[in-house]
Amino acid sequence: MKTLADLKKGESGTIRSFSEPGLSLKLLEMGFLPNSEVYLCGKAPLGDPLWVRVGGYQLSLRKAEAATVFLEA
Amino acid sequence: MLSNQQIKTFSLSTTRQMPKVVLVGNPNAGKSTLFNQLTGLRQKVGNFPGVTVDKKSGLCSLSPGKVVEILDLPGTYSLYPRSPEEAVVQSTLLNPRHSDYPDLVLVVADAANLRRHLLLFTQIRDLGLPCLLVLNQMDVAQKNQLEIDIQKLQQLLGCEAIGLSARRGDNLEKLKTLIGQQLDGSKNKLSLPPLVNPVFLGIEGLDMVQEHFQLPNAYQAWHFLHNYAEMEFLAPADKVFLQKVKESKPFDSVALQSKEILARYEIIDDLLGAALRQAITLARIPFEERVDAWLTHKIGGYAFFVLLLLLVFQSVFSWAAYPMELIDGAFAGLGQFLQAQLPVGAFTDLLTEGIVPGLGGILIFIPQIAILFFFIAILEDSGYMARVVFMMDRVMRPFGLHGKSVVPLISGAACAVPAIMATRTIENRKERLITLFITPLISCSARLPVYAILIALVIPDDAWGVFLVCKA
Repeated sequence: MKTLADLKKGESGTIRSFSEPGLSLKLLEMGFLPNSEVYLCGKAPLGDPLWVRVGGYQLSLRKAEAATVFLEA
Repeated sequence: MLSNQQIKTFSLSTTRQMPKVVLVGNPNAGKSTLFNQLTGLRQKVGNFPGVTVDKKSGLCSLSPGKVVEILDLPGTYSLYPRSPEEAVVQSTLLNPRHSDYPDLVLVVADAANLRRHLLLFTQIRDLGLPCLLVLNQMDVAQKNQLEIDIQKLQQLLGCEAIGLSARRGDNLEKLKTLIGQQLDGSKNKLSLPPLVNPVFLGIEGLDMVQEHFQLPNAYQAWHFLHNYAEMEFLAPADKVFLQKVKESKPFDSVALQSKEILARYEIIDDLLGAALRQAITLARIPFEERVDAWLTHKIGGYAFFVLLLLLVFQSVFSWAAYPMELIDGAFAGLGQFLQAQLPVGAFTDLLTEGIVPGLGGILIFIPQIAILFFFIAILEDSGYMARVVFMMDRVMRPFGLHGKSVVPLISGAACAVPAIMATRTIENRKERLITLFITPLISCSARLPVYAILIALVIPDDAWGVFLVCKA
């Protein structure tokens, strides 16, 4: 299944669900809500962490964390 | 102004009779700036009972003769604790017998990022605590062309709200007046219906918990059920009771919590739909993103970082040379003066060859440390440090460190003590500990001359083993 970690720079996706319950709560609190759009602004020089925009603000998260966010196919 | 008596009672920490106002908010909401503005220099730093979390409190005079104690709680994204710092927030707000149980909660929110910051506010409001919403960084919101209808927000939330900029210090008097009014009126205020009623989220047994602990509302009961294991103020028997209630019905804590967060965001979006307007879409963001893309470029980003560090350290050492010379000269002069004035003897020697040069040897580093901290503050406040953290995370990870470890490691070059205190922003306990232990290995500038002296003492001037030692 497609995850946030699979996005390429400049692509966006719609959040569907999360694979890790504990982390999902933190992500929800930060505004990663199901059905909201997430846009990949860029990646750090070594491809990790990722720089995303969701719900009107920007934040960065590690690739491993991004891989727990499933997107609509 | 404060009378001596008030200061005395404060230092004796028998401040129960003084109303307590606590500051709660997300990290980066500007809580500490507001705290400094409200309390000035009348602060003290202590510990929360039982945990090593800094507790900053101070006094604030609202009007002549009316003083309140202000307490700065650690920043948190929600009421569900994920670190010892965040657990302090929950145990302070949910335990009426806690020594810091507030008479009023000031929820500080970033007006420019209102959506995310309102999540915590709605939770605290639903706990039924008397609260006041402080929309901070209104200047930034205005710059971003955000129009916030505070009247409407107050009306929809059923709570007083005020917009201000703690950094610029405007509207502070109005806030103080509002705090005074809230404290006077909070006793006879009707409790508001919750924004999100936990009863409708598919949980059972809340009524039993509410009755058992005599809680004012179901949302407090909800938190007891979710987090009783970490609530150190509960008696063992009470924990057993909560466990029984929890196990008697199917109870999925994570699913229930996410339901709650989603329900809250739904309400917040409705609220902001009515009270928030962005006048124009931002044409500025692409420019900022271009700068960001350049600052975090895979070659340019690192090159710029190294260049910037070189520049910072170079200017630290060249700028600090002048005040250091002055201090050096002043202490040498003082020593000579004392030697000339005082009779010859052991005490004079102690003074002129021990105490005076010793003090001088310490004070001489203050210019270096001060200038370096000045630069670090600029790097942090401009947001550049956040980009460095982003760039360096992958590089630091093989060593068990976090990108955020860069900040303490750099400030460790100035002084290790504040650098170690800066490690608290790292959430992961293991990464925080590793950073904490290696930070002292970065030599602070005051240690360099000590090395020089040791080398001069231990290593002979000429050839030593295979090493050829050059000494200036």
